[in-house]
Amino acid sequence: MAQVELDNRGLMPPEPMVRILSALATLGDDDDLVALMDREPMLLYPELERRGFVWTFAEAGDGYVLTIRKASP
Amino acid sequence: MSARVTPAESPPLWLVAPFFLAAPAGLAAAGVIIAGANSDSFAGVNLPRNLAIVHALVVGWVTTTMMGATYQLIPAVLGGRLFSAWLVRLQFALHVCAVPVFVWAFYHWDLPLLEIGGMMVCGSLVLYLANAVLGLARGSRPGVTRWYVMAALSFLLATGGFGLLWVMAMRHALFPITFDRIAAHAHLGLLGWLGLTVMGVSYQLVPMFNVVRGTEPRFSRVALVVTVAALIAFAGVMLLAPPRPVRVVFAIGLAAGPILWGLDLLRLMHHRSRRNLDVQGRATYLSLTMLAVTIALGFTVLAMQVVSPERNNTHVVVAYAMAGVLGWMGTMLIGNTYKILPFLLWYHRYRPLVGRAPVPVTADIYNDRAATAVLASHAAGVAVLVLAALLENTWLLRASGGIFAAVAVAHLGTMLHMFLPKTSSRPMAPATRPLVAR
Ligand code: HEM
Repeated sequence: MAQVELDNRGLMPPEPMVRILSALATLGDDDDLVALMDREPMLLYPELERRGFVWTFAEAGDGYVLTIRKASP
Repeated sequence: MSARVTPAESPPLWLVAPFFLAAPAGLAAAGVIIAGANSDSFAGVNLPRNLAIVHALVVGWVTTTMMGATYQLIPAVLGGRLFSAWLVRLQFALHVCAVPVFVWAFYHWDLPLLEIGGMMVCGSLVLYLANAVLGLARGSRPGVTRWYVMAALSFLLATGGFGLLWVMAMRHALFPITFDRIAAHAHLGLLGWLGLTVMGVSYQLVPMFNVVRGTEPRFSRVALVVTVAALIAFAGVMLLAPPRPVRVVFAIGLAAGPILWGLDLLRLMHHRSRRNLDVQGRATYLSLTMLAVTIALGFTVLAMQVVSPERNNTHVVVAYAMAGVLGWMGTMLIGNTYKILPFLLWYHRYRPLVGRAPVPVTADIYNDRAATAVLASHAAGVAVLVLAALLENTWLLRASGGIFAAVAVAHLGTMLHMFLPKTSSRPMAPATRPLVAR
């Protein structure tokens, strides 16, 4: 199980979405993608659903953490 | 999953884009009418030509753009859901038919036609309000922008209501339309609808697109409360034809909210982590400068009314209103179209391809140089117009009209250019492999 970390803070929309969706292309079945965010990526969620991923979103320090993994079949 | 909220979807491209593409026609119409100005343009603010210019700008240009922007922002940013796409299409069709009739009727001072045009415009406003209010009510993210938009929508209803009532009062000789009554309608529309929308939406977009970190707005709530309270008090008082000192107090109250908002925005921009300004950042600074000019001119009008009430100060009132509409709001509006529309296009065209092929980012979708040229020309037009009004110079006034008509065409051109296919200016997004693998 691997954890892919992305620091998306300080990026302008839609850059965080581009980086996350690009990284998901290489994510293994048991891997987690952990992204540090400045704000909640509301528009990303439908795309994650379409691509078969699930996620959690939580506050962390002065930003947020978004954790994404493949949905179990 | 934990901490999950309702996912947002951007509305269909061709639901929102037509509003942005149609809106410059309002600026072009105002520009053409200004270009044909004659020496009596400064004889009175409520001359038919001036009323046609004002409504082509505020209803044709600014309101149409704001309708498109809020239809996009309500679902995409504020977490709401539009009530009906069909209603949006119907509203757009009614709006683009109504505005020319309305402006034409003002220009020719044709009261029966003005009544018809006014009813059509109000019909469009009601359809818009229904969709926007229900859209916001159907699931929303908390946040101050939502309250600004809600307040702005309420003032739009009041503005349209009073406007139509004034038209009917003139048409059927119900009661006289005094300057005070016009001022009540005008400030409800300019500050209540247009101003609060600009203020609320910029609290959302300025930090987002300039990547502001480590700070929060200080006055967003108090600026809203002060503006709403001052507007209600001002409009109420003006309907009762108050003595001059009372007006002065209420007018000062009107300036307080935008001043607090301006201070907030300056602080946010100071804390931005994107140091290189793009067109939206430049537009924000320009808009704040124009707000300062508007407030200074507003106080000049007030001072003139107190010192020599019998003197005709139409030229300063024109400078004040135009600095506000074209300067403060217009520059912000132009700047934000280069963010909202490219994002919408990106979302619908390129987001499904991310991770599968190199895609352009929003900065690849519009041409920043061309956009900045449009913005700079517009700002030059505002400067020429304000100068023309202060000097009561008809030639300069006509020149500013020519600039605005050209800006409208160029703005439309840069927006249409966004729809052409674009390629990525950079290699595939950087994070296609694990940055840290454990
Ligand atoms: C939606 C936003 C609107 C805004 C921001 C707005 C703004 C203004 C402003 C600034 C003036 C003063 C202009 C001047 O004296 O030169 C004015 C006057 C007026 N407006 Fe509006 N307006 C809006 C919509 C409407 C609508 C929908 C109607 C009618 C259905 C309307 C009817 C009038 C009338 C009748 C006057 C006064 C005419 C006179 O001087 O006798 N307005 N408006």
